Amino acid sequence: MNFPRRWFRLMRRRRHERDLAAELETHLAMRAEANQSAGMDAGSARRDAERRLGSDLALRERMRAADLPLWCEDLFRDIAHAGRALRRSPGFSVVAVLTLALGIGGAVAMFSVVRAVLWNTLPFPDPGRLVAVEESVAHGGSFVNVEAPFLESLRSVPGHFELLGWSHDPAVYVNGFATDVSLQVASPGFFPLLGARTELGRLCRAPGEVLISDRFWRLHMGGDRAVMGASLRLGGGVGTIVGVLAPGQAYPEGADVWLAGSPDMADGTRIIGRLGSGETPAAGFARLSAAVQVVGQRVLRQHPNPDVAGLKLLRLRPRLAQSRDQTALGILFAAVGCLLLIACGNTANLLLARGLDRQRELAVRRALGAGRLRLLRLLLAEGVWLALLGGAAGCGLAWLLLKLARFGPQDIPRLQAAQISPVALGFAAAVAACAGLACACAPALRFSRATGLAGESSTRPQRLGGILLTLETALTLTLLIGGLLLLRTFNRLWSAPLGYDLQPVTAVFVVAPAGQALPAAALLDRVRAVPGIVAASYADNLSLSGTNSLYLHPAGVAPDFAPPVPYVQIGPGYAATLAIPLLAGRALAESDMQSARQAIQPVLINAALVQRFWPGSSNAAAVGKRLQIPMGARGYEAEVAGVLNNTRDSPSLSDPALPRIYLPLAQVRRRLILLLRSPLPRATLLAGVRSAVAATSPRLSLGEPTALSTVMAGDMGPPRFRALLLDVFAALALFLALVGIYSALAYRVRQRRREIGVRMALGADRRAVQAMIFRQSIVLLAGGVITGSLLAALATRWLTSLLFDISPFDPASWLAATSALTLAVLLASYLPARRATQVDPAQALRRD
Amino acid sequence: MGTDSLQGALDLLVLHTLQRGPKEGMHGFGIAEHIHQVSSDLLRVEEGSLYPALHRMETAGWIAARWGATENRRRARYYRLTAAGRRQLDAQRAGWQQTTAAVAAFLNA
Repeated sequence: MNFPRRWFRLMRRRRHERDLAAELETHLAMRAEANQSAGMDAGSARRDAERRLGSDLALRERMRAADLPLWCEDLFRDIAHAGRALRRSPGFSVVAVLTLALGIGGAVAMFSVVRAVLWNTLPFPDPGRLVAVEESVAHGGSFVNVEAPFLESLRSVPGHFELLGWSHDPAVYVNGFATDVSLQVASPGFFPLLGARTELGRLCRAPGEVLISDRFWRLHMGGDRAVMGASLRLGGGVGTIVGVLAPGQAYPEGADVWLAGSPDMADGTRIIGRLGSGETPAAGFARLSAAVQVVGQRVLRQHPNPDVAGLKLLRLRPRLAQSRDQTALGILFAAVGCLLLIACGNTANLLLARGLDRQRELAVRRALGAGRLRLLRLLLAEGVWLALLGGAAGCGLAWLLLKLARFGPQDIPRLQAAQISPVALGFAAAVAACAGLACACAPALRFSRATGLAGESSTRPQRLGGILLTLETALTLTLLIGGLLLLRTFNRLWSAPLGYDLQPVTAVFVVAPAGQALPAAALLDRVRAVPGIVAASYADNLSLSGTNSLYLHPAGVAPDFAPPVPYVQIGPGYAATLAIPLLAGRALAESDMQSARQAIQPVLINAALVQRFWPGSSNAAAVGKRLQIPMGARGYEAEVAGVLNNTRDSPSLSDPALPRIYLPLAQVRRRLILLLRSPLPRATLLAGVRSAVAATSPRLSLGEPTALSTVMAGDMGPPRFRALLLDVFAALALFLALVGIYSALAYRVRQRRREIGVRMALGADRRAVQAMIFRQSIVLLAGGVITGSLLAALATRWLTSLLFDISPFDPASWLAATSALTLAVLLASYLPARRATQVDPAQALRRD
Repeated sequence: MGTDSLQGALDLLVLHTLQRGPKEGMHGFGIAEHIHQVSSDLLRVEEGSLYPALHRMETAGWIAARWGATENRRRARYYRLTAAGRRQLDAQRAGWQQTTAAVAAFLNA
């Protein structure tokens, strides 16, 4: 039969039903006629015909099942019927839907985050056509910055290029305070070229207009919509805010404020381009790449530069997430998977328990001629409903979770940009469908087999339910152990010695107006004279590890390609201000700042760097050694003046101390960070510092003072976030397991009410009955703990890279997790056990 | 004949009957009676299985049905073989002959 006719038949169900009846009626009449002509009387002829054909209802049911269109229509009927059945037992439905929603919601939210952080390309339209031009360096690698002569010549290359400049100098002021937000200067066409979206307002069109990031808007302007058109004070003048970029649209990632204008080439410029849409990205890239190389060589002939090998075209790619974040996300994804499995197990158990209740109904349906497939379908239809409702509620939950993720750590790239995309919705639909089927399958297969009315005594659903519960407890234990291990890691990180004392240290930005140098030495002298200040120094960077690093090597030794060493540029008294113990040699003094750039520069290194360059050497022996510093045009030589104790800091709090180098901040540009050690309250301190700064030069501006320990707390963000997330999952899992075990045991007790009644009528005392119920839970628990321990032993090995100073088999964590689980199981079995003994034997026996 | 175990055989009997039957098709009663008579009462189609089988084969496209009138002016559903049904019949017939030949050879061995 062709499809239109099928559809036609589907639409004509009534007529079709009449046809079925008519066809059978014709048959009966013909048989009766044949019987009569063989000599039977009319009555028995008809009865014989009916007997031969069999049950009319069952026959029609089988004929219907043979007709595909009718089968489809019955499916819709079953779904509608299942919907009504679920509405009739709202308690069951709500619990099942919420349970599934928790699992599905967690999975979808995590999927969106993983997709945004790990798999995503740049969040702009047609990202394959975005390119960047960089200088390639003579000894390999490339500089992002492109120097002025190249930039001028690139204008002759056919292609659409825009400029983005770094400008570290002009500060951004909020509420009269200078901030550490660096200003990006972009040519007005830059964001239209990327195709960035705004959350509010529009992209820049004319010089002087300012775009801000979503984060900056929320953090510094309280998310106030009235900032549109407001002016923002910048170091060099004033800009007008015309738009807020949507979350995740910032380029480069992590930047906050963009001023439309002409980037200053002295500050470093980046050239971003978009390939034309006339040709394929590959062809366009090849053509433009060749053109850019030609320009590079031509410029080099005119302006020879030994450090630069030429220009090259690169594809613009997003910043990669750190491998640590990748592991963490993988683990969280697995945790969410566990949660989803637990939710499915719970729902399946609920359906099993409900199936026990409905066994009689199913048996009646079967007796009335419903085929096994039909019953299976009816039960699966309930799963479909649960999946639909659970999936919808799960998507809502995921949306909420992603909103909350905005408060998560800021340094995981693109976490803020995670949103429920169409792909995530597809994922949600797939997960929901699988979950619904998985939940419904076991009970459906079990109960569609119910034959006759004897099904009541079946113990098989109980056994299946027991297996599900054991698995659930096992998964819960795994999650609990993982969560506790991360929590303890976090606590250890928090309390581990840092190698310095930040508590009484305050950091303040000081910014000089454009075109003026900052008189660092004079400023430091005045600040040190402020009453209450124990020690003071300055540095170029607030991040304690330094955001920059150098490929340095001992003088006279060929450079290796070992990882670069992070550096901070510091003022005199830095080690004393932060209370970093000096292990050997001397600290840097004021005179070391003056001597910079002249002879051999004195530097400080930490003990870890000593071990890296001169393994086995004592700290004292390292003093006086020479290092080659590749800074400036030719690099310079430095001498180790002193060795500092190792410090632990971002971005790898849990790593063994990294090698570090402290260079004297020789050339103070327009801003630096004052570090003040003082027991005085911050507000009192600020007044003194303000007058000291004003006395140095009235044109200096001050930033908002921050406690250095809060900067450290920011570095603790990711580990805290990880521990928090996994603990939330573990708590949810424990809760779900509690609910699952409770509901399953409660149903079983209800199921055995009659048996318990008989036992008690025959003289069993309450305690014996309670013990019987408890024994069941203990068996369950033991199975769960054994399976869970094996599972956790496998899973925690994967967790090792995220742990700090704690073994994956930490006895305290394992013991605590097992105890929590035991407590939960006992609690879940206490109520049903108690209810079991309240059974009135007479009543229980009289039922049914 | 059992309901399910010899379902394939029932299909074969029905398809064969329709191939030999009149061009305008046969109704269910006619098919049952024909099988009964031709096999000299040896094969008896269980009438309760016949109609589901007919509808199943119709869904599969092996046979087509239309309403018509019997000689007694009764409304009946007439089934006739389609091209797909003819191919199906050939395949089933070959399969059946192979099976019976194999069983016979086994019993004679």
